[in-house]
Amino acid sequence: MTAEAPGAVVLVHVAGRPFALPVASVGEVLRGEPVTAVPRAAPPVAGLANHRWRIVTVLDPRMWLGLPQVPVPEEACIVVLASESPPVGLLVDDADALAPAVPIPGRRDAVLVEGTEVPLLHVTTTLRAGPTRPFEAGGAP
Amino acid sequence: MTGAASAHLPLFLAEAREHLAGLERALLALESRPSDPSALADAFRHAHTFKGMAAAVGMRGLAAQAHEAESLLARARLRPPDRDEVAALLRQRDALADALEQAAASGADPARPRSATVRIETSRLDGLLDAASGLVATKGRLVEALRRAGAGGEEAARRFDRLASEVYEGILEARLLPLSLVYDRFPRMVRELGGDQGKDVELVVEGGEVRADRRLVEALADPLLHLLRNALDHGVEPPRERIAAGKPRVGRIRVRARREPGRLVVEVSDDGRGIDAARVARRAIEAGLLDKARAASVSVEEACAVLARGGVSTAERVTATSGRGVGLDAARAWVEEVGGSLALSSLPGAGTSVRLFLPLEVALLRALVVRAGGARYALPVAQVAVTLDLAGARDGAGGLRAACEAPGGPVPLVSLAKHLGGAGGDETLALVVETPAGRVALGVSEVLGNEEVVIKPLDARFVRDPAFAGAAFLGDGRVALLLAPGAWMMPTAAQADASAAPS
Repeated sequence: MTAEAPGAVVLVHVAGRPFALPVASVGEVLRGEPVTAVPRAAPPVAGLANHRWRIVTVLDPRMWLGLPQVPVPEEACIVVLASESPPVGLLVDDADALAPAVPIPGRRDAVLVEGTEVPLLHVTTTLRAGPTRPFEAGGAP
Repeated sequence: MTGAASAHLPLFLAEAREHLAGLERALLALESRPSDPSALADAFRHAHTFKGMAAAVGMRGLAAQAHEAESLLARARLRPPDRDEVAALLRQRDALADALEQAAASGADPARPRSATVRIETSRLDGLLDAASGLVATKGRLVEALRRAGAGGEEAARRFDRLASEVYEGILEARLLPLSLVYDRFPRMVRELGGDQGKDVELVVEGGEVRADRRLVEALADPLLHLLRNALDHGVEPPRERIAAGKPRVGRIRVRARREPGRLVVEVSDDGRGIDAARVARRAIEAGLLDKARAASVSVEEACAVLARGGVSTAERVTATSGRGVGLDAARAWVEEVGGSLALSSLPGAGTSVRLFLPLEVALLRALVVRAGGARYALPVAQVAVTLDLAGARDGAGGLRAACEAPGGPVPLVSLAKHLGGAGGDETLALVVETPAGRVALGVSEVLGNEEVVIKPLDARFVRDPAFAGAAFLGDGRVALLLAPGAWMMPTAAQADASAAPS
């Protein structure tokens, strides 16, 4: 599978807006896992959670995506990224099961999911704290 | 090679590599002590055994090569070898090593383990360790429930408690590797780099038997090589300069490792010229790290601190002679990645020492779990001197007084929640904590318990706060931050002012 044409994506919502994560970049989705806040931590750190008895650092992608800081819903999910070690998770409102994605010719920044254009999030730069956006595409739609 | 012989190949390869490593060590020893009969005897033994083993598995070419090396060594028996002769022997050894690896690549699996050991993928061991962390975190609650259940539950609880800890510690133990695995590469490197620069250097390594988690040991080689190179390039002087300074002609670089509670300390020191404070100051000013007015008055200690913080090398790279800063920056970047720290000290004319403080997978830690500002924190029990009731420690307005009475005299009192940027205000107890900056009483809402916890490092890419030494899993599976006793706990200037002002 190439980055241009992910056959399947995990559809997530952040601040109420849909985004697609290539299935290859998703390790696992944690539901109902409590997040312990880290006082004084810089954004985008949302806190720490237990992922099979490893500490996963949970990041809130809203700053990177230029989205408003609306409250995160109670039933928020953590998408543990497949490639990061130590593990890193993205805090999202919810995450759907796999959805088939149809590439849009000439576009890397979005795919069609059930006929609707959805911004695609490729984690392209090394994750670190700060405003540097680690995603290749996917501004607010 | 015959089929029967090839079945023995993996074992042969493992042992042959060991003999070549031994031969290298012996040759280096021979170089520094040419008339040492034991070094020569060791070299002989390794070369000879290697030859016999190669012949036994039918590798005639290798055996013949080893025979040549043996003949060269025989000459050394007649008279002590000079540097060039040892260099020739080392080249022979390298040729043997190359030939061996070629044979390994064309033959069977070279990585087959020796008898009585099992090779386990590191990732599996990682998974086991994580699972055992969960076992330790969960056991507290389980043991408590078993005790309450009575009817033999208490005995079972005691046994389970001990077993869970043993399982965790056993897995940690299985992951340990000796530092000698890293050290083995150094003598050769120091010898070659020193030779290139016309410097004679003796390398002394200590603590090769010290063991640490494999993840740490495997990653330690690169930063140590940077520091060794620094010591060679910028520390040890050329022989003429050393003699002029009244020092022994041969420089000495020392790599020392020791375990301290919770951390591994690795030190690379040299007996060279030391840090030139004025030069560091100049570079630091160029790099905008230091105020120009301070140039003349920078002490060696300050220069060391500036170097340890990093960024000084930038100005120097332009001149192409890479300064101490480049290697230091590389070493520091790694050290910080693993959650450790680096310190530098120097005595002008007498040498420089760089110490790496690296966190170890701590076996298990007794921690007090407290609640403050609605969150739970863990604090090492060993660092809490006493717990105080705060009933009498409020001022007229209901806020905390600036100090409270503790055994041994008054202690500054702070609200943990407020110190961490929260609200506070519901403190009922204070923990008197011993920090390097002095004693302090931390006001908390509640002490929830005393648990044995596994400490996990924080991801330094995202959380770098001296207040937190790591994270721990509590009995309910949630994560709590582990507080690091330190200067951050002390009252801030603003708090001190407020308490000094008449209320």
